[in-house]
Amino acid sequence: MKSNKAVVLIVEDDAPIAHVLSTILTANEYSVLKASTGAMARSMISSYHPDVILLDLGLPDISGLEVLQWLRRDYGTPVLIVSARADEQEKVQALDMGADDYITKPFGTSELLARIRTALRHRAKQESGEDLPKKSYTVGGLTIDFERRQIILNGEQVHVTQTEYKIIELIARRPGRVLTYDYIIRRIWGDYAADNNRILRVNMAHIRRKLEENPAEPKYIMTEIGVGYRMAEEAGN
Amino acid sequence: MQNSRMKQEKPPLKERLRDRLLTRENLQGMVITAVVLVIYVVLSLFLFHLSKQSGDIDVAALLMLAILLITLWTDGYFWGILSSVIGVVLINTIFIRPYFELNFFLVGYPVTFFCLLMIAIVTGALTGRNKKQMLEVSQREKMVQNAAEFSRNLIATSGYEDTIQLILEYLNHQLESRIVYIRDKQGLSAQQVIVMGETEQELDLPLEKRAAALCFDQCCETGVGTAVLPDAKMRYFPLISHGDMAGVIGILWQEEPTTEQKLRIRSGLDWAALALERQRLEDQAKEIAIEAQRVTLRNDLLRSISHDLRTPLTGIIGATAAILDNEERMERESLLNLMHDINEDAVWLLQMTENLLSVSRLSTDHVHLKKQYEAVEELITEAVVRCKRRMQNAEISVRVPDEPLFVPVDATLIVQVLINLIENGIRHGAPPVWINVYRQGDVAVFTVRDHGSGLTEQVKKTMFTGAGSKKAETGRGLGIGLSLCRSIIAAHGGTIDGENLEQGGAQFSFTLPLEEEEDEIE
Repeated sequence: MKSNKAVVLIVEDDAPIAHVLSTILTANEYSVLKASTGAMARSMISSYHPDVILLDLGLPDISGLEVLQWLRRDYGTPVLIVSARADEQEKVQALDMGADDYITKPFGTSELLARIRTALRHRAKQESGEDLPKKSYTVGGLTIDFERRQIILNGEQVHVTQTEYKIIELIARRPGRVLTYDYIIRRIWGDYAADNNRILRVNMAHIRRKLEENPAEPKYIMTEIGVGYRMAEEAGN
Repeated sequence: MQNSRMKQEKPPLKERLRDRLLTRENLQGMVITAVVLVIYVVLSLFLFHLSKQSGDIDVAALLMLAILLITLWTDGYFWGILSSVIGVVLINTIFIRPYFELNFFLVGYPVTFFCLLMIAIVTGALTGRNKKQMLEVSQREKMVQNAAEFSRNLIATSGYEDTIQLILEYLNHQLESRIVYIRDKQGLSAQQVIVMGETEQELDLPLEKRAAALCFDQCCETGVGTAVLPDAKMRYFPLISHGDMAGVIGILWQEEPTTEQKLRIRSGLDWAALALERQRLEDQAKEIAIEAQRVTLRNDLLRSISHDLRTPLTGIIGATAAILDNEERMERESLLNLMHDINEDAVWLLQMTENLLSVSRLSTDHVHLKKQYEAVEELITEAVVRCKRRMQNAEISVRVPDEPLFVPVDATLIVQVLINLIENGIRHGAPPVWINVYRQGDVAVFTVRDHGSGLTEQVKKTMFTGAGSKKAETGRGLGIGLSLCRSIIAAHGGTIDGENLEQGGAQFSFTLPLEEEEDEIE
């Protein structure tokens, strides 16, 4: 039970959307702060140190990316990008620049809350030092054993190539968070492979076929098209 | 080439003489003359033996005939004159006393000889002129035929390149010389010169290029035979069509052309100018037609869009007005129902807007869509997830092939197509909606089927045109969705179609090519 409500800073210049967000969050036990310009956001971050920030990229005075850049220099506050569907490029850029996740308008309440929770949890773990290498990760019938480097699906071991395992491990260590194509490629194949994500897509297609009952209705590894991949979390996490 | 070599050695005199003497015409002439004279001798001998009185006159007359024939059948005066000399010698030798002996001293003999000679010469002249005239006539006739054929071909040809090709071929054929065509001054430096016909002559390219450039600048004939850069080997003629320079034609000629040839050149150039003018007008007309079509399409689209926007908006206004006016008296359940309706209408509006965004994306980047290889299952998953968000209870099931399939596409647009098809299947058909994708040769085939009552004939006729935006009985019209789908699929090089299935329900399917040229893929 929390003695303090977590503080969310909503940086959004569109009043109705800010209103919706604020309503949802207040109804779910969050404390809400609002900023409608980049400058306001900066001053509120410095003064109030919110626990999580919802950042819209299309601000009137400076771009949300600039706010993000400024933020990341000094603070590790979790940031969720609020975007419209067409801003794919910007979304990916923001994620690569240090944003934790994103949410697309119009969004469902549960999705918003789940992502905020995930972001807070990851950050809390990092700060408390609890983010030590886990032994394994389980969701649904899938278990990834990091120690033994094994994948077990519904009790049976699944054979994957080394590259496939590396990818799965990378995503499974950050469950619930989106990892961009770039991020994954750089971690697995190195910095200079970043331009060609075809090799990643092919590997993912094979992984999906090994892990998912129906590759087109994935339960474990979600695709965010144009952005990256996300490992599912157990409900209630 | 071999300029230095040419100055060095000429082949020996004997060889040259032999080459000049032993031509085909000379051999032919020799043979004809010999044959005719032999026949003449035989016939004359025969006649002479038959009648000693009129013998010599007959022989003389026969000689005239022989000379006539020889001149007719050979070229030039030479053989005719030669045969008259030989003939006279023969007569003297064979038919005049003393027989078989050459005797030049009979009275009247030189006159006979002279007359026979004159006959030969005059006949030669006459037949020669006749032949020349006939040759000219046949040549002219051929030229007229060629011109007629050329103009026929020209009328039948369309397209700029083909027209130029035809003109150059005609000129090359007519003049038997090398022809070049340069479209504009930039083409000169960019080596965009069309050349027809071979030549062994060495050309000073910079000089020729300068002459051509001057032709462009001054819009007059330049090159050999003109006042401008007469040192060039080719002559450049400006092609003027509709007051503009349509290009320059260069002709290589070794000597000043005959009037005949000049005529051909002139007519060829006039034809060229005419053809280019016609081409220009054709192209213009085509562009105008395309523009008109575009305007019509755009207006149709706007009309369709505004209708589709009005419907859900009026729904929202109505529902919200009802709530605001009656909210105190309303039951919670009615309130929630109205909220649901508002949400549905708004969701529909958003879908509409996303379609519009796709339309604008399509029309600005029509030729160069930004394509990336995407896994087909990812495209379908995205579409299904988005649809399920809007219509939570929708039953959608998907099947994908075991072998991963990748297609080069603009992901946003194709997902848009799938969403449109799925929503149509749910709204106008009936759930469950089954989605399938598989590989067929070098395309990927996507199918979306529903379990509704199928497409009516009326709908089938208009569904892809975007005209079917009237409110169907079951609710919203099909909107611009399907016509947009067709545009998107077409821009990707695929096809889309809809049909009714035997087992019931409608099925829409579209194809996307699996391969793309290398430079189009990111």
